[in-house]
Amino acid sequence: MDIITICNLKKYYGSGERIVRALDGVNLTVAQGEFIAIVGASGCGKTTLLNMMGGLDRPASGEVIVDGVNLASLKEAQLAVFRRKKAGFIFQNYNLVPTLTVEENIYFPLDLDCSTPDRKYLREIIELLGLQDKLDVFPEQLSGGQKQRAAIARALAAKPSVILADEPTGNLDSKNGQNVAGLLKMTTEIWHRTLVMVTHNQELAQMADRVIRMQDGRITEN
Amino acid sequence: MRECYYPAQERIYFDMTGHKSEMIICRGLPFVVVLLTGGFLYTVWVWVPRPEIRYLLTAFFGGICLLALLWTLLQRRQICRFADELCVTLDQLLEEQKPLGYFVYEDTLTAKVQGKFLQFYDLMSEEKQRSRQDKQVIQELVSDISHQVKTPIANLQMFLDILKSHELSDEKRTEFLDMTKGQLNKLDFLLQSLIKMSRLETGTFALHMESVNLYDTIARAVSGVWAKTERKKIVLSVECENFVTAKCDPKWTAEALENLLDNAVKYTSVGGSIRISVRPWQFYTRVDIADTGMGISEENYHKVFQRFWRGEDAAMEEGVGLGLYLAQKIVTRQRGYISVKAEEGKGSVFSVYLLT
Repeated sequence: MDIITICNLKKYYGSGERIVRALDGVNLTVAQGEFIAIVGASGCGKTTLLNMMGGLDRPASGEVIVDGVNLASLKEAQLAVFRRKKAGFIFQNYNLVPTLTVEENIYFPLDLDCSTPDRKYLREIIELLGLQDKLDVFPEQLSGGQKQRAAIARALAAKPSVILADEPTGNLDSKNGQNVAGLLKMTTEIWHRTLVMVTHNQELAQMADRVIRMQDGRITEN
Repeated sequence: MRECYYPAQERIYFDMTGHKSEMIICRGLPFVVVLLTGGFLYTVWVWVPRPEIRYLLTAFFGGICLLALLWTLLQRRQICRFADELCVTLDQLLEEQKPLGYFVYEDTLTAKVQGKFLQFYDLMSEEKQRSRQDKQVIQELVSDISHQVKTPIANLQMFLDILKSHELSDEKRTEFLDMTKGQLNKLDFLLQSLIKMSRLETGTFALHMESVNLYDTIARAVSGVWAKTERKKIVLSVECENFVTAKCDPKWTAEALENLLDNAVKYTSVGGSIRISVRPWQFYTRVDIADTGMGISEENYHKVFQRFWRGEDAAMEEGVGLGLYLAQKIVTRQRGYISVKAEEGKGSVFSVYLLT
């Protein structure tokens, strides 16, 4: 079952002579439960592609279908609900809310959605990620690795269909990076989530079920 | 239309389901209304002397009653619509089709409940999907197995035919017999691997995860390849603290490490070296197996773990392309992972990450 289908996706920035083809006819399908890594040099359009999957950006032409819904057909308010329910984001710079504790950060997407948290599930995640002693701590008191682990927990909290990670280990040293990437892979595997990870680190890309190489807005190897 | 979540709605909904205590309240309600109205009118007529005020108060009371009635009817209609929409969704799901044109991404109560239904449906269909996938995996395995077994069997038949039909010198005969034995060994090895593989693929074996001393596990793996390293004069060094532990199944982990070591020995030329080093981290314990062999090009990093994959320049070495694949399966089943880093012509490093 395909959870993400992308058809002839295009996105241009600028116009005329200085047009930048961030995405130039991308076709891709991602199956439910798959872990794919998108690799390529910087500026090749990997992050734009990831943002398209998460409904953070709108395509110029082409289709992005996630879990049976064409994202282009959704209004802005509906896209917000989509992101809340269906997509879990993990960013390079963690994006934790600095004025909330780790626990509040993890519960934040659920609070926004007014849904009742599945306490057993959340406790399991928190324990797997080794955050049980850090729940009452504010993000600024955490190390980079701990912050990213909290971000992983937050991304998983709302049980989204797809987890989208943009250079999740970009700000971490190789040891912490390996730890975080391993945990990310493990947690998505345990709960059968689909994981799309953008990275330029070959070593991390190997962990994926499938590696996609991009160059100048196109997929060169699938 | 924007609907909000009112606890009151829930109550009325339960009224309609007819719980016993609420039924009594429902039946008693008209009685209470009549009593209240009577009481009100009596009070007004007795205590309010001016008729205009009297009529005004009565009209006011009547208005409130009417509004309450309208409000109730409206609520009732909303709930009916809510229930109808859910029924439609459920009907569609029962017919095993994903409902189209549903408003999952609307910020409404209906959409929320529909979303939950869909989640449940997805969970169920995922299970079905998985069993179908398992079947496919088994089918692929069977075809792979038959393909792999074909060559040694064909060779065996040929050797036996030659032995049977030709007049051969004793020397030649022994040579053919040796070759037959070699093919039989290969067949045996293949079958052993295939059994392991099928068990790993279908997940029909139990892993005994425990905190084990990694030193012992590595020692066990090393003993399996010791003879081969001696033969090729490869220096094998292990760098591991005595107390390092990891959460894994010792038997299977040793098997995975042995496969990796076997691979390293195979592709390291005579006089090379293999170094095993262990680094305990917070979540993972990393076991590096570094050799000075032929290395792997970057685009093949991902392929080396595929079933029956063999490098183009690996043809002269024995093997069927199962060792690394099995090692990876074993390690991932234990919630760890393997990565590789290599330089062509200089050697490769396989890193096994086991849960600490």
